[in-house]
Amino acid sequence: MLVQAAALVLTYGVSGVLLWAGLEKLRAFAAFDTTLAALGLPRGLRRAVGLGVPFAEIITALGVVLLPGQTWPRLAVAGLAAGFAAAGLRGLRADRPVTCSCFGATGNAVLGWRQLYAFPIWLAAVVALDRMGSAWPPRQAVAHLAVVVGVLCGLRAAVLVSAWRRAADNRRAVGEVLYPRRARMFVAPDGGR
Amino acid sequence: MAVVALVLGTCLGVLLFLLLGAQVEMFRGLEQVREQAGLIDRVTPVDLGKVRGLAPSEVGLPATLDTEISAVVLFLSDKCVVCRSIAASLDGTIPRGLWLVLEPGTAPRDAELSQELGFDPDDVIIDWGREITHRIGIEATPLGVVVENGRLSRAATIPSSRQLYEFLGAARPITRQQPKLLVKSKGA
Repeated sequence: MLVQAAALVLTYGVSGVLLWAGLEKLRAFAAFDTTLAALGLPRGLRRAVGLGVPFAEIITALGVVLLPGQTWPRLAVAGLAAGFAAAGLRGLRADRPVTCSCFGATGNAVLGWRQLYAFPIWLAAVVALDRMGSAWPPRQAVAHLAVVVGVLCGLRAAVLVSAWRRAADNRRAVGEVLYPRRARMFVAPDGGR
Repeated sequence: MAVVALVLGTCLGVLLFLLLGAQVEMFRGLEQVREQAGLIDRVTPVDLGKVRGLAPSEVGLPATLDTEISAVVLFLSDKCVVCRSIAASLDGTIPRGLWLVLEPGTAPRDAELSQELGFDPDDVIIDWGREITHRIGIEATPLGVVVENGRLSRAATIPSSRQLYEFLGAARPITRQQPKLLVKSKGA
C-alpha cells in the first residue's frame, strides 16, 4: 500500500515536471530557441530540437502516467535527463551564462550545475519507478493525468496570484508618489485658519 | 462517459495552464518595463559607515533610543515628494517602533514643518541645522535607520509607505507605546 502510494507520488512528480517543462517550452518557443542558439546549435537543427524536446517531454510525461507498466517511458525519462545534463555541461562551458528556459520564459535560471545535480535524481526516480512496478487500469490512468494537470494549474495559479499582488502593490506604491493626495498632505502654516 | 469527461477536463486544464502561464509572463514583462522606467519601489540598503554600531545618542538622536531593543528611525524632509507621500499615508499617526526625524527644507519654524507633514510637533524630532543628518553622514530622504539592541545597525532608502511598513515589520519593532519627544536637536 505504502509502495503504491510512493509510486503514485513519484509518477505525479516526474510527469508533472516534464509536462510543465514541455508545455511551457512550446508556449514560449522563442525563449527556448534563444537558449538553443546560445548553446551554439545551428539554425536548422535548432528548429528540430526546439520542437522535438518539448514534444518528447510531453509524450514521456503522458507515457509515465498513462502507461506505467511499459518500459519506454522510464527509458525516455533517463534519456531526457541525460540530455538536460549535457545541456548543463555545455552551458557551463559557454562564454556567457545561458538562460535556461527549462520551465518556460518566466524563470531567470541559467543552464549549468543545476542540470548536472538533477541528473542522478532523475536516474534515481527512474530506478525507483522501475522497482516499484506501478500499474493501474487505463481509466484510473486518465484520472491520474487529470490530477497532475490540476496540480500544475494550481501551482501556476499560485504563481500568478503572487505576480499579480506584486504588480498591484507596486502600482499603488508608485501611484502614491506620482499622484500624491495633496489635499491631505499640505496643511497651511497657520493650521488653515 | 466518465473517461471522456476526464479527457475533456484534462484538455481544458492544459489550456488553462497555458493561459495562466501567459498571464504570469505578462506580469513579469510589466515588472521589467517598470524597472527600466524606474517605477519599481524597492528598498535600497545604505551603508551606515562609521556610525554603524554607535549608540543613537552619539549621533544626536534621543538617548531613549539607546535602550530600545528594536526601532526604526525615519528621516523625512519637507522638500522631498516621496517624504510627503509617506507622511500623508501616516496621516499624523506614528506606528509603534517608529521614530520620526523631520529635516526642515522650506518651513521656517518647527511647528510649521511638522504641521506641513501632518504630525504633532511633540511627536517628532526636528533636525534643525541638520546636525543628526551630518553626524550620520547620509544625505538622503526618506531614509530608514534600524536601531537594534540600542545600536545603529543598518539603513535603507524607503521609497513608499508600503516599503516603510515592510521595513518596520522586518525590523521587528517592540510593541511598547511610542514615547513622546524627549530631545530636540535645535541648532542654528
